[in-house]
Amino acid sequence: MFLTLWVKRLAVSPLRRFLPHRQGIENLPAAELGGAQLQPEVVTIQSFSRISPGPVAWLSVSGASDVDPVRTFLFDQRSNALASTVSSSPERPAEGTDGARPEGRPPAEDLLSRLRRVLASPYLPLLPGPGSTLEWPGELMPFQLEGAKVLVEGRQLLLADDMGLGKTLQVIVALRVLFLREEIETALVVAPASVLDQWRRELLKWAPDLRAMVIRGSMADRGWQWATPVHVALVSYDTLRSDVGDNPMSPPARKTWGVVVADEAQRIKNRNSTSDAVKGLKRRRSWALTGTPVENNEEELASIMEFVDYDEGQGVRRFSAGLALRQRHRELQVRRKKTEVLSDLPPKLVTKIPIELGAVQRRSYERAEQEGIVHLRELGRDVRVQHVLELISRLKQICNAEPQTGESSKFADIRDRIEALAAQGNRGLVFSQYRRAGFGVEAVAEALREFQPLTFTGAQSVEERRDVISRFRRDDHHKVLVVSLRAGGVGLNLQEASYVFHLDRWWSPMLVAWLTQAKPTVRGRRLTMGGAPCGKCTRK
Amino acid sequence: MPVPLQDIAGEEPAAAVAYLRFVKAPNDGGIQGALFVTNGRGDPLEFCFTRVELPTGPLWEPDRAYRQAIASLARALFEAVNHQPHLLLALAEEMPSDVLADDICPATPACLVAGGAETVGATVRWVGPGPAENSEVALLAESLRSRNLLREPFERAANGLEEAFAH
Repeated sequence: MFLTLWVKRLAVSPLRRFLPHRQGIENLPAAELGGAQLQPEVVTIQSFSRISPGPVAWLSVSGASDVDPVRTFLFDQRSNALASTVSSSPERPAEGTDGARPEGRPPAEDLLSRLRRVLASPYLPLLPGPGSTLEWPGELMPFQLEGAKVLVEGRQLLLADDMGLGKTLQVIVALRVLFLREEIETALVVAPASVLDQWRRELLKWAPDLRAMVIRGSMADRGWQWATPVHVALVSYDTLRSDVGDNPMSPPARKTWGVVVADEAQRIKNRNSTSDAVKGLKRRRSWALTGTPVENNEEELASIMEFVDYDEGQGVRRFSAGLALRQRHRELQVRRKKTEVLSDLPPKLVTKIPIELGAVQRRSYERAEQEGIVHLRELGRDVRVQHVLELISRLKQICNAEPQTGESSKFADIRDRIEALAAQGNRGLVFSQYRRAGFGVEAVAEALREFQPLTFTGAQSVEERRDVISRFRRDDHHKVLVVSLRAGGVGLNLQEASYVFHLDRWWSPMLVAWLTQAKPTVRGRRLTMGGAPCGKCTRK
Repeated sequence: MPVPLQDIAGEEPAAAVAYLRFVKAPNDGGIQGALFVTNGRGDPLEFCFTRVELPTGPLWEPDRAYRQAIASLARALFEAVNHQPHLLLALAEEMPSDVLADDICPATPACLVAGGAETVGATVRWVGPGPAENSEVALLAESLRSRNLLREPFERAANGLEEAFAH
């Protein structure tokens, strides 16, 4: 107590004005940490009493506290940006506050950007896995993790993994990391229209902190959609071509994207207005995704590489078939085949693919639904379960294909997927519970006729079915085997096919589960196509 | 203009962790100090830095001069910081425990991180009695350990100082 009083008295004594430091003892800051205050008198006494008593030592203590002005950089987590800088010194104004800059110091903006870079969380702990500093809905397989790292580090990349190895997932993980590290501010994913909603769902699942928007609809709608600030814009190739046109000042063309992703990049294998629209986008990173970078000839690869090998300062680099193309392709491509990563893969992957009905299909569906409901009401007390099941069955058939026009979103989607699979040398099985023309096995086979499908149904004799299986195993020109669920659900063992598509679902979940567990035996993926009757109907 | 991130319920780590880092200035007799505040997953919230001359003179032993300098730096940094950290971390090789406990004596729970350069094997020594088991601060420290954030942010703070004082 005595010592405290003595120091306080000293602090206000005339000796103070001889102290070389800026703050007298009574003005020492009450340093706060966690809401508690440090008592400057006590701190000084402690230091003072330890060093040595006496006025000489006191002057030395004062000299030691001649701390430079503190500069503070605040990061705004909500805007994901370095927000402001302040300085604590009343005597030396902060850099930038009065326009002056201390000699020899780098400009404030340079320091801002450099600090943002070196203080950002390192990206490796952000990736999914044990000890990740981010929450992720699942883990990546080792080869997917490697792919995500390459994407984070690479500005130009052709990710050419086999179909089904998770290219979309790797890209989304890399995008989330890049956004959180503030390395990019915008991304554009260009993809076939049929997969845009799948992209959005996966983004919501794996990167819920990012804002994503599908650009589509009328021209007026697209106008405000392009102007809406989002992290990830999703657009189809056709819409982009339409919106970019020849206008370099169109919304997508005039901004510089942090990343442009060309999904199913075989869509830009030809040099046409679509590929020109994609290649003409200003961007810092170019990622192309495709399982089949070369379908027919090197010129197709050259076109894709013109998108990938883009330098912001130099613009589009032109390639033609030849050694230079192949060399650059080797440098910029990452490709893992299923056979190479088989040990990483689970024995079976099941993917549900919701598919939007086309306009005609939807109208037909809604009409049948309304008429069916009216019919059920008219039946009154006579309504039976089979009446409801008949209606649901009718709706399921329309979901497969519209009966009058044959329009089918499922067939169109499955055709695209089989095309990509076939280009990789894969083959598939397509199951439907229906056999009839219009919406069942025969209709699917007709829709996929370019892939020389074989059909396997209960209408065939045992010998015929055996012959079908034999031909499918023997001749890989048949890329697809279309099977009725009842006939082929049991007893088929086909290692030749890696992909199974369930066009529609059976009534009984137990039966579906049993069929799924049992046969056919394939190694690879099962894909269930969407478009089942809505819950409203099934509840009724 | 960056687009704000979406709010994710339960994912935004509210904790603020302060890493106190000191580096001897490479070309002079000064010491640079930084207080690097991050959230619970290591994202930067605030970076304060300054420097001080080591006191010199015949009466100053090097050890005492160093202790005095870092205590002064720490006080200045604490005064300037805008966030209210829930936990203060310092490196045991830079911060004598008695300086933190007696000269600075923060009311915020504080600990010294010792051990190898990697988080694996790093040990935490609480200044004072330490928090109760399963308290929020104890869980926060455990979370930092599991996320490899006991030592790594000190490296970033040093890198920040290097950039800040680069000419």
